[in-house]
Amino acid sequence: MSSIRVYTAKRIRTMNPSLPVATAVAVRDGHIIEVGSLETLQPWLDAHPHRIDHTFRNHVLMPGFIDPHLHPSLAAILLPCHFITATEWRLPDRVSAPVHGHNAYIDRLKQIEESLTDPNEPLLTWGYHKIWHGKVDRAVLNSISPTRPVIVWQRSFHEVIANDAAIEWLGADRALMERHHQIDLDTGRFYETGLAVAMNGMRKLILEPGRFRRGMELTKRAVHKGGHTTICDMGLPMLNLDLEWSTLKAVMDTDDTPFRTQFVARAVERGGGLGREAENLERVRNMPKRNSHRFQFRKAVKLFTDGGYFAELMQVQPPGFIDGHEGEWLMPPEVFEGLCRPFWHEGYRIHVHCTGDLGLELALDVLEKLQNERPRFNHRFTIEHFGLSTPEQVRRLADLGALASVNAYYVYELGEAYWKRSLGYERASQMARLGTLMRHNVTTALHTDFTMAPALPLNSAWVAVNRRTDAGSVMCPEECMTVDQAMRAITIDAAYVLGMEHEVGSIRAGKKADFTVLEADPFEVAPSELKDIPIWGTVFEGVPAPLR
Amino acid sequence: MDIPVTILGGYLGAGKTTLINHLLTTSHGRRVTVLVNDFGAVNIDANLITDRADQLIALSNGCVCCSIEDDLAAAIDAQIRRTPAPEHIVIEASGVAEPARIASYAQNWPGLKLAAVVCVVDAETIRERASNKFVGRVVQRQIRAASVIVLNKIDMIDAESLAGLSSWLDELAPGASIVRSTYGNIDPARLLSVSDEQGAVTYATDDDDRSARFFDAVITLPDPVDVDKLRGMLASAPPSIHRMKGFIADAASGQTMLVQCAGKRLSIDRYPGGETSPPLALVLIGTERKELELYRLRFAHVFGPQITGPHEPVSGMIEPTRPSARADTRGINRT
Repeated sequence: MSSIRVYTAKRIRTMNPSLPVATAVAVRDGHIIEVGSLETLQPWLDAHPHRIDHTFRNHVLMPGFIDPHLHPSLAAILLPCHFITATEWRLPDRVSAPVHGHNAYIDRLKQIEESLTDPNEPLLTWGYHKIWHGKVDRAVLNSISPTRPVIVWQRSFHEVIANDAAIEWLGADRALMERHHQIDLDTGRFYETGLAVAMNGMRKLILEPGRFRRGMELTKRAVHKGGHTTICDMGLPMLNLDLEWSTLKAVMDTDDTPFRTQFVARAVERGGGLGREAENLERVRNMPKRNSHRFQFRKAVKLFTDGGYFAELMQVQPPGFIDGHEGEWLMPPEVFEGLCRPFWHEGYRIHVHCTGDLGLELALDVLEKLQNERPRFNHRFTIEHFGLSTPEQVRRLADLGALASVNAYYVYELGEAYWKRSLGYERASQMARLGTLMRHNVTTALHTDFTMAPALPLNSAWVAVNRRTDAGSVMCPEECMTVDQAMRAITIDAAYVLGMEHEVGSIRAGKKADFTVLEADPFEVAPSELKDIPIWGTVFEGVPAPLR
Repeated sequence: MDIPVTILGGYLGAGKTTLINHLLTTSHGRRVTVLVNDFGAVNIDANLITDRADQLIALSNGCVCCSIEDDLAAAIDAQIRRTPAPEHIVIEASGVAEPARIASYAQNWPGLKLAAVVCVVDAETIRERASNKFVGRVVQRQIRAASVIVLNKIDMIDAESLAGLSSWLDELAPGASIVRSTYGNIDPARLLSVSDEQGAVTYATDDDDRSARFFDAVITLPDPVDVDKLRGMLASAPPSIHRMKGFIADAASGQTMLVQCAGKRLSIDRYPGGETSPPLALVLIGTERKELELYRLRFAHVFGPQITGPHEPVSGMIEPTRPSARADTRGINRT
């Protein structure tokens, strides 16, 4: 048994309502021995060898932040790209400052092109949006480089624009591209089904194991930079289990990794459907055999109802979308129900991706049915993302004992766009209905779904508390969280959603010694400044991990 | 030489898999490859299997069944590269897929051309499905997008229901041919019809086996329309145009109107409304390509060309006549 180390701090926000504020915490072998003050810790210190560490005397300690829903594999694909974005992205190796205006966009792209030393290296940039960056087409990209493949990947992932060298590099049949009605070779645009042709050609770059590994290293740093000590990869595998798992193991299951990862397996890996319930249950049941100290599968499973929120493919109850387009089901409702059933009966925690209010309705209908078949308490059936909902659905969700894990960032980036183009003000302003969840005492976590939002829990909390959009309007203050609620949602309530509340999420005797070390107190700064609180680093299982 | 593709859609439980089993094992003399979502459900007599791998079953009659494994592009490419290449590819759409979307995907893939969009419906449950709060709308769109409707399990309903069902389907998908079946037991030729040189799709009709060729055109009318002017326009359509159907906004009342025109019968009625606002467009179906072209040009002249949006390959309010049997209604919606 090693000796006790006592960290003193300007303030410790324990997130344990029984002892909310402290100034010292004693740690041994990765666990908390006691939290309080140097005076109250005295009986332990008298009895055991110890060392008092004042490193954090000017800092505020919080429980280590938790993101209960992100996707390291997606991040590993995206982070090696060159970011040119309309909103600021603080990344581990760079800050992508907001770029507004066509000329600024072109200047930035030129700058990147000139910085590349290998003349053949394809330049893949992400974050382009026409509203902010004006028209970018093949001719413009040819002027950036006539010889280097230059590919612009649009912010929502639904379109790429290529220069001549890139069109060549993609390796697709020219005649096909010419007659494809969703590829415009004149402007270099590939969209909708044309995008599949481009993605086919881009695989050799974005899934190249060396690049994927570098992307995973950046993801690891991004997770640390956000102040996380626990994350959850909500839905493994994303693309390819072998490539993902071997890369994750090599990068994030190492002694120098200052966080742990819970993995939630997908209920169906590919295709699959009814009639294969036993097979799926067996596969998911076997996943915990992979567990290690940092990597843990638990008794949990991931399912889906409707389509993506950024892609406007959520299923929406009447009156639907302004332009009349339709959302998408990711599986037939019967298949969804059939897949849920064995996991429900086996006592699994079920996490359901629901983005639109009709998707949510399906999840609640199925939950109600399953509750009738086999009532369960404390089942932690969790609605993931929670884009659109009605107040009545929240009440029903509460009655059925479900939880919510919410991507609040939707309000920031999509609030105005969906108000003006997609749904109208009433429904768009009430997306991510956090205030109502609080009024119904629904345990609620905040997540980023990284890379759908930056992996910065304080940023998520800031959106939840202020509901301010990128353009500055406040969307439905009635649905704001309080600072305390938002801080719970990135610590103890996120832990609860992951079934880890007895181990992490607050600072109390017996829990893992995971802390996020802040330069200011989230409960004292102006709520509008929550996202700007500098992070010193973290302490993971008792070991300090400062940010570089 | 492009390989013809049939998209096989229809809601869960309609009988797609039974139909696929049937297609793979009856002798029709063609090397057909079927791309399926779920391998497990395909049930083939072991005596017919010559080769079996993780994602593929090869049969002694030259047919191949292959699982899509979440990557349609890779599955298609692998089949195109096979020697000998398949003579026809059938792609099974998932129960909630928009067949129009897959059709447009297949249509544009190198080496493929779209032959038909087939929708299998379960005679017993389809009406209920089509009004279900979760899937009703997608089920209706699947039917509307079909060029061939396989009305399956007709043994489960009485004659009166069958007649009612047939006219309901006809209303929903004018121009689609309806093939009645039990246990997915239909002539495979009906799924494997091939485009002729002009690009028209050859369909077997329901009543007999005479072949009829149909062309279609979609006219989007996003702005309100003078109904009287429209009435005159529709009345002057050439006789080779059999059906015209769609929705418009009435300039006088602002109401959405349902336009239906079959032969000499024309009705323009107030659309009672449903859960969704319908796309403002007319779908025209005719047997003479040239006449259809001329008529739609006349339409453009009378109602004025409009820019329909940056994503439209043809700027103007009218899409060119296409050999596919039905319009991609989602595409209309979007513009």
